[in-house]
Amino acid sequence: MPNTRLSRDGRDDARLVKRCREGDAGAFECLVRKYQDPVYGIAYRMVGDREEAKDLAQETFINAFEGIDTFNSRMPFRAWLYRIGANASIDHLRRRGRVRDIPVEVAAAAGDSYGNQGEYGVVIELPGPETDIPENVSVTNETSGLVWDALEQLPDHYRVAIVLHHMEGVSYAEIGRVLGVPRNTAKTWGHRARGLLCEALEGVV
Amino acid sequence: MDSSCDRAVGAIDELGDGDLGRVKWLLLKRHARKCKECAGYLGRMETLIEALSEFGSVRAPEDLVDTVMAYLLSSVAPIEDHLVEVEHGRRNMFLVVGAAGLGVTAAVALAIVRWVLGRAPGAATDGDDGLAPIGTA
Repeated sequence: MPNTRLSRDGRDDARLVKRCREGDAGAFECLVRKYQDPVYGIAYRMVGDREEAKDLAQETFINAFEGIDTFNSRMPFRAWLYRIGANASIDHLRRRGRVRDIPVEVAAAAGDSYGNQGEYGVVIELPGPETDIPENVSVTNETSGLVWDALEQLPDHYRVAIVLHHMEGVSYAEIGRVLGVPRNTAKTWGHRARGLLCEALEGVV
Repeated sequence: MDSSCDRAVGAIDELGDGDLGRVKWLLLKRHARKCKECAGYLGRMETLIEALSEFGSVRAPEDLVDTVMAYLLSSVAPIEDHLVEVEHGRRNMFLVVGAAGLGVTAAVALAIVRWVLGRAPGAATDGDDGLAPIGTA
Protein backbone atom coordinates (compact mmCIF):
# COMPACT_ATOMS: atom_id res chain seq x y z
CA MET A 1 0.00 0.00 0.00
CA PRO A 2 1.46 3.39 -0.92
CA ASN A 3 2.76 5.48 1.97
CA THR A 4 0.48 8.38 2.90
CA ARG A 5 3.51 10.55 3.82
CA LEU A 6 4.48 10.69 0.18
CA SER A 7 3.30 13.59 -1.93
CA ARG A 8 0.42 13.00 -4.31
CA ASP A 9 2.94 12.69 -7.09
CA GLY A 10 4.93 10.20 -5.03
CA ARG A 11 1.80 8.15 -4.36
CA ASP A 12 1.01 8.10 -8.08
CA ASP A 13 4.52 6.79 -8.70
CA ALA A 14 4.11 4.16 -5.97
CA ARG A 15 0.92 2.93 -7.66
CA LEU A 16 2.74 2.68 -10.99
CA VAL A 17 5.58 0.79 -9.31
CA LYS A 18 3.06 -1.63 -7.80
CA ARG A 19 1.61 -2.27 -11.25
CA CYS A 20 5.15 -2.80 -12.63
CA ARG A 21 5.77 -5.44 -10.00
CA GLU A 22 2.59 -7.16 -11.12
CA GLY A 23 4.04 -7.36 -14.63
CA ASP A 24 2.40 -4.32 -16.23
CA ALA A 25 4.99 -3.02 -18.71
CA GLY A 26 2.73 -0.09 -19.59
CA ALA A 27 3.06 1.23 -16.04
CA PHE A 28 6.83 1.27 -16.34
CA GLU A 29 6.55 3.06 -19.66
CA CYS A 30 4.55 5.78 -17.88
CA LEU A 31 7.41 6.19 -15.41
CA VAL A 32 9.98 6.35 -18.21
CA ARG A 33 7.95 9.02 -20.02
CA LYS A 34 7.55 11.02 -16.84
CA TYR A 35 11.21 10.98 -15.83
CA GLN A 36 13.03 10.78 -19.15
CA ASP A 37 13.97 14.49 -19.21
CA PRO A 38 15.41 14.81 -15.70
CA VAL A 39 17.18 11.43 -15.87
CA TYR A 40 18.70 12.32 -19.21
CA GLY A 41 19.42 15.86 -17.95
CA ILE A 42 21.31 14.63 -14.90
CA ALA A 43 23.39 12.29 -17.03
CA TYR A 44 24.09 14.99 -19.58
CA ARG A 45 25.08 17.56 -16.95
CA MET A 46 27.36 15.01 -15.34
CA VAL A 47 29.12 13.66 -18.44
CA GLY A 48 28.65 16.48 -20.95
CA ASP A 49 28.07 14.26 -23.97
CA ARG A 50 24.68 13.57 -25.56
CA GLU A 51 25.33 10.03 -26.75
CA GLU A 52 26.87 8.96 -23.47
CA ALA A 53 24.04 10.65 -21.59
CA LYS A 54 21.50 8.74 -23.67
CA ASP A 55 23.26 5.46 -22.92
CA LEU A 56 23.36 6.34 -19.23
CA ALA A 57 19.69 7.27 -19.19
CA GLN A 58 18.83 3.92 -20.79
CA GLU A 59 21.05 2.13 -18.30
CA THR A 60 19.33 3.98 -15.45
CA PHE A 61 15.84 2.93 -16.53
CA ILE A 62 16.89 -0.65 -17.23
CA ASN A 63 18.56 -0.92 -13.82
CA ALA A 64 15.47 0.58 -12.22
CA PHE A 65 13.25 -1.96 -13.96
CA GLU A 66 15.45 -4.86 -12.97
CA GLY A 67 15.65 -3.65 -9.39
CA ILE A 68 12.03 -2.60 -9.03
CA ASP A 69 11.42 -5.36 -6.46
CA THR A 70 14.09 -3.86 -4.21
CA PHE A 71 12.53 -0.39 -4.29
CA ASN A 72 11.19 0.66 -0.90
CA SER A 73 7.80 2.20 -1.66
CA ARG A 74 8.03 4.35 1.48
CA MET A 75 10.66 6.50 -0.21
CA PRO A 76 9.90 8.64 -3.27
CA PHE A 77 10.46 6.78 -6.53
CA ARG A 78 11.96 9.93 -8.01
CA ALA A 79 14.79 10.04 -5.43
CA TRP A 80 15.46 6.33 -5.92
CA LEU A 81 15.60 6.75 -9.68
CA TYR A 82 17.86 9.81 -9.47
CA ARG A 83 20.18 7.88 -7.18
CA ILE A 84 20.50 5.14 -9.78
CA GLY A 85 21.11 7.78 -12.45
CA ALA A 86 23.66 9.72 -10.41
CA ASN A 87 25.55 6.54 -9.51
CA ALA A 88 25.58 5.44 -13.15
CA SER A 89 27.06 8.80 -14.17
CA ILE A 90 29.65 8.77 -11.38
CA ASP A 91 30.71 5.21 -12.29
CA HIS A 92 30.91 6.22 -15.93
CA LEU A 93 33.08 9.25 -15.16
CA ARG A 94 35.41 7.16 -13.06
CA ARG A 95 35.77 4.61 -15.85
CA ARG A 96 36.33 7.36 -18.36
CA GLY A 97 38.83 9.27 -16.24
CA ARG A 98 36.65 12.38 -16.08
CA VAL A 99 37.56 13.70 -19.52
CA ARG A 100 34.57 15.27 -21.18
CA ASP A 101 33.56 17.71 -23.85
CA ILE A 102 32.13 21.12 -23.13
CA PRO A 103 28.35 20.81 -23.54
CA VAL A 104 27.15 22.24 -26.79
CA GLU A 105 24.98 24.94 -25.29
CA VAL A 106 27.94 26.54 -23.57
CA ALA A 107 29.11 27.57 -27.00
CA ALA A 108 25.64 28.73 -27.94
CA ALA A 109 24.65 30.22 -24.56
CA ALA A 110 25.46 33.80 -25.32
CA GLY A 111 23.37 33.82 -28.48
CA ASP A 112 20.31 31.97 -27.18
CA SER A 113 17.28 33.78 -25.92
CA TYR A 114 15.53 32.86 -22.69
CA GLY A 115 12.68 30.42 -22.78
CA ASN A 116 13.34 29.33 -26.32
CA GLN A 117 14.42 25.97 -27.49
CA GLY A 118 17.96 26.47 -28.62
CA GLU A 119 20.13 24.46 -30.92
CA TYR A 120 20.20 20.69 -30.30
CA GLY A 121 16.84 20.89 -28.53
CA VAL A 122 18.28 22.56 -25.44
CA VAL A 123 15.66 24.44 -23.48
CA ILE A 124 16.95 27.40 -21.53
CA GLU A 125 14.69 28.42 -18.70
CA LEU A 126 14.66 31.47 -16.52
CA PRO A 127 14.70 30.97 -12.77
CA GLY A 128 11.29 31.25 -11.16
CA PRO A 129 9.74 34.61 -10.31
CA GLU A 130 10.93 34.35 -6.70
CA THR A 131 14.51 34.66 -7.88
CA ASP A 132 14.35 38.17 -9.22
CA ILE A 133 17.41 38.89 -7.15
CA PRO A 134 20.25 38.51 -9.64
CA GLU A 135 19.83 41.80 -11.44
CA ASN A 136 21.53 42.92 -14.61
CA VAL A 137 23.69 39.85 -14.65
CA SER A 138 24.74 38.78 -18.07
CA VAL A 139 26.63 35.57 -18.48
CA THR A 140 29.11 35.57 -21.29
CA ASN A 141 30.27 32.63 -23.26
CA GLU A 142 33.60 32.83 -21.46
CA THR A 143 31.93 32.78 -18.05
CA SER A 144 29.79 29.77 -19.00
CA GLY A 145 32.89 27.94 -20.12
CA LEU A 146 34.67 28.79 -16.88
CA VAL A 147 31.75 27.55 -14.81
CA TRP A 148 31.65 24.29 -16.75
CA ASP A 149 35.37 23.78 -16.39
CA ALA A 150 35.10 24.42 -12.66
CA LEU A 151 32.07 22.13 -12.40
CA GLU A 152 34.11 19.37 -14.00
CA GLN A 153 36.76 19.72 -11.32
CA LEU A 154 34.31 19.36 -8.44
CA PRO A 155 34.17 16.15 -6.42
CA ASP A 156 31.39 13.92 -7.77
CA HIS A 157 28.99 14.39 -4.86
CA TYR A 158 29.39 18.18 -5.00
CA ARG A 159 28.65 18.11 -8.70
CA VAL A 160 25.54 15.96 -8.21
CA ALA A 161 24.32 18.43 -5.58
CA ILE A 162 24.80 21.38 -7.95
CA VAL A 163 23.25 19.62 -10.95
CA LEU A 164 20.21 18.49 -8.98
CA HIS A 165 19.62 21.76 -7.13
CA HIS A 166 20.39 24.37 -9.76
CA MET A 167 19.56 22.54 -12.97
CA GLU A 168 16.80 20.14 -11.99
CA GLY A 169 15.26 22.16 -9.15
CA VAL A 170 15.53 19.38 -6.56
CA SER A 171 15.37 20.38 -2.87
CA TYR A 172 18.25 19.65 -0.52
CA ALA A 173 16.06 17.24 1.43
CA GLU A 174 15.59 15.18 -1.70
CA ILE A 175 19.23 15.54 -2.72
CA GLY A 176 20.04 14.06 0.69
CA ARG A 177 17.83 11.07 -0.13
CA VAL A 178 19.43 10.72 -3.56
CA LEU A 179 22.95 10.80 -2.12
CA GLY A 180 22.07 8.90 1.03
CA VAL A 181 23.06 11.70 3.42
CA PRO A 182 21.14 14.04 5.77
CA ARG A 183 19.61 17.18 4.27
CA ASN A 184 22.10 19.46 6.04
CA THR A 185 25.03 17.51 4.63
CA ALA A 186 23.63 17.88 1.13
CA LYS A 187 23.16 21.59 1.78
CA THR A 188 26.72 21.95 3.04
CA TRP A 189 27.98 20.20 -0.08
CA GLY A 190 25.97 22.64 -2.18
CA HIS A 191 27.51 25.62 -0.31
CA ARG A 192 31.04 24.28 -0.66
CA ALA A 193 30.52 23.50 -4.31
CA ARG A 194 29.27 27.01 -5.00
CA GLY A 195 32.18 28.41 -3.02
CA LEU A 196 34.61 26.52 -5.26
CA LEU A 197 32.75 27.62 -8.39
CA CYS A 198 32.82 31.23 -7.20
CA GLU A 199 36.57 30.96 -6.68
CA ALA A 200 36.87 29.97 -10.32
CA LEU A 201 35.16 33.25 -11.26
CA GLU A 202 37.56 35.42 -9.27
CA GLY A 203 39.29 37.88 -11.52
CA VAL A 204 36.61 37.44 -14.18
CA VAL A 205 33.64 38.89 -12.33
CA MET B 1 35.89 41.36 7.86
CA ASP B 2 33.43 42.14 10.68
CA SER B 3 30.24 40.54 11.93
CA SER B 4 28.18 42.36 9.32
CA CYS B 5 30.38 40.71 6.68
CA ASP B 6 29.70 37.31 8.31
CA ARG B 7 25.98 38.00 8.05
CA ALA B 8 26.44 39.11 4.46
CA VAL B 9 28.29 35.90 3.56
CA GLY B 10 25.50 33.89 5.21
CA ALA B 11 22.95 35.86 3.19
CA ILE B 12 24.91 35.24 -0.01
CA ASP B 13 24.87 31.48 0.74
CA GLU B 14 21.10 31.72 1.26
CA LEU B 15 20.88 33.54 -2.06
CA GLY B 16 22.67 30.58 -3.65
CA ASP B 17 20.16 28.21 -2.06
CA GLY B 18 17.28 30.33 -3.37
CA ASP B 19 16.13 30.96 0.22
CA LEU B 20 16.99 34.64 0.67
CA GLY B 21 14.03 36.80 1.68
CA ARG B 22 13.41 40.30 0.40
CA VAL B 23 14.39 42.08 3.61
CA LYS B 24 17.69 40.20 3.91
CA TRP B 25 18.34 40.93 0.27
CA LEU B 26 17.91 44.66 0.81
CA LEU B 27 20.21 44.55 3.85
CA LEU B 28 22.76 42.61 1.83
CA LYS B 29 22.64 45.17 -0.99
CA ARG B 30 23.13 47.99 1.50
CA HIS B 31 26.14 46.22 3.03
CA ALA B 32 27.61 45.43 -0.40
CA ARG B 33 27.59 49.14 -1.28
CA LYS B 34 29.98 49.76 1.62
CA CYS B 35 32.07 46.56 1.48
CA LYS B 36 34.05 45.88 -1.67
CA GLU B 37 34.95 42.32 -0.66
CA CYS B 38 31.36 41.26 -0.04
CA ALA B 39 30.25 43.09 -3.18
CA GLY B 40 32.75 41.00 -5.16
CA TYR B 41 31.52 37.76 -3.63
CA LEU B 42 27.91 38.76 -4.24
CA GLY B 43 28.67 39.58 -7.86
CA ARG B 44 30.35 36.21 -8.41
CA MET B 45 27.47 34.36 -6.75
CA GLU B 46 24.91 36.19 -8.90
CA THR B 47 26.86 35.38 -12.04
CA LEU B 48 27.24 31.76 -10.99
CA ILE B 49 23.53 31.32 -10.24
CA GLU B 50 22.65 32.90 -13.55
CA ALA B 51 25.14 30.70 -15.42
CA LEU B 52 23.83 27.55 -13.76
CA SER B 53 20.21 28.46 -14.43
CA GLU B 54 21.00 29.23 -18.06
CA PHE B 55 22.28 25.70 -18.50
CA GLY B 56 18.70 24.86 -17.55
CA SER B 57 16.75 21.72 -18.30
CA VAL B 58 17.52 19.42 -21.18
CA ARG B 59 15.08 17.44 -23.27
CA ALA B 60 15.67 13.74 -23.63
CA PRO B 61 16.05 12.38 -27.19
CA GLU B 62 12.67 11.60 -28.72
CA ASP B 63 13.44 7.91 -29.13
CA LEU B 64 14.61 7.32 -25.54
CA VAL B 65 11.32 5.86 -24.29
CA ASP B 66 10.93 3.57 -27.32
CA THR B 67 14.52 2.39 -27.06
CA VAL B 68 14.21 1.60 -23.35
CA MET B 69 10.87 -0.17 -23.73
CA ALA B 70 12.01 -2.15 -26.78
CA TYR B 71 15.03 -3.36 -24.85
CA LEU B 72 12.99 -4.27 -21.80
CA LEU B 73 10.27 -6.05 -23.76
CA SER B 74 12.82 -8.05 -25.74
CA SER B 75 14.62 -9.08 -22.57
CA VAL B 76 11.41 -9.73 -20.66
CA ALA B 77 9.95 -12.10 -23.30
CA PRO B 78 12.50 -14.89 -22.66
CA ILE B 79 11.81 -14.48 -18.95
CA GLU B 80 8.12 -15.00 -19.61
CA ASP B 81 8.91 -18.06 -21.72
CA HIS B 82 11.04 -19.36 -18.89
CA LEU B 83 8.18 -18.81 -16.47
CA VAL B 84 5.85 -20.77 -18.77
CA GLU B 85 8.37 -23.63 -18.86
CA VAL B 86 8.62 -23.59 -15.11
CA GLU B 87 4.83 -23.67 -14.88
CA HIS B 88 4.65 -26.66 -17.25
CA GLY B 89 7.37 -28.41 -15.25
CA ARG B 90 5.42 -27.83 -12.07
CA ARG B 91 2.25 -29.23 -13.65
CA ASN B 92 4.07 -32.35 -14.87
CA MET B 93 5.61 -32.84 -11.46
CA PHE B 94 2.15 -32.58 -9.91
CA LEU B 95 0.80 -35.27 -12.27
CA VAL B 96 3.70 -37.63 -11.53
CA VAL B 97 3.38 -37.16 -7.77
CA GLY B 98 -0.39 -37.56 -8.01
CA ALA B 99 -0.11 -40.75 -10.03
CA ALA B 100 2.49 -42.16 -7.63
CA GLY B 101 0.29 -41.31 -4.67
CA LEU B 102 -2.67 -42.97 -6.32
CA GLY B 103 -0.62 -46.13 -6.97
CA VAL B 104 0.59 -46.31 -3.38
CA THR B 105 -2.96 -45.82 -2.08
CA ALA B 106 -4.29 -48.57 -4.35
CA ALA B 107 -1.52 -50.95 -3.24
CA VAL B 108 -2.21 -50.24 0.43
CA ALA B 109 -5.96 -50.69 -0.10
CA LEU B 110 -5.38 -53.98 -1.87
CA ALA B 111 -3.11 -55.18 0.91
CA ILE B 112 -5.74 -54.30 3.51
CA VAL B 113 -8.43 -56.11 1.57
CA ARG B 114 -6.25 -59.16 1.28
CA TRP B 115 -5.46 -59.00 4.98
CA VAL B 116 -9.12 -58.64 5.93
CA LEU B 117 -10.18 -61.49 3.64
CA GLY B 118 -7.34 -63.62 5.02
CA ARG B 119 -8.72 -63.25 8.59
CA ALA B 120 -12.32 -64.02 7.63
CA PRO B 121 -13.83 -67.36 9.03
CA GLY B 122 -13.39 -70.21 6.60
CA ALA B 123 -10.73 -68.38 4.74
CA ALA B 124 -7.64 -70.13 3.69
CA THR B 125 -4.79 -70.18 6.21
CA ASP B 126 -1.34 -68.80 5.56
CA GLY B 127 0.29 -70.58 2.72
CA ASP B 128 -3.06 -71.94 1.59
CA ASP B 129 -4.55 -69.98 -1.21
CA GLY B 130 -7.84 -71.86 -0.90
CA LEU B 131 -7.30 -73.79 -4.06
CA ALA B 132 -7.12 -77.56 -3.95
CA PRO B 133 -3.83 -79.04 -5.12
CA ILE B 134 -3.89 -80.22 -8.65
CA GLY B 135 -4.91 -83.76 -8.95
CA THR B 136 -6.56 -84.00 -5.47
CA ALA B 137 -10.08 -83.08 -6.41
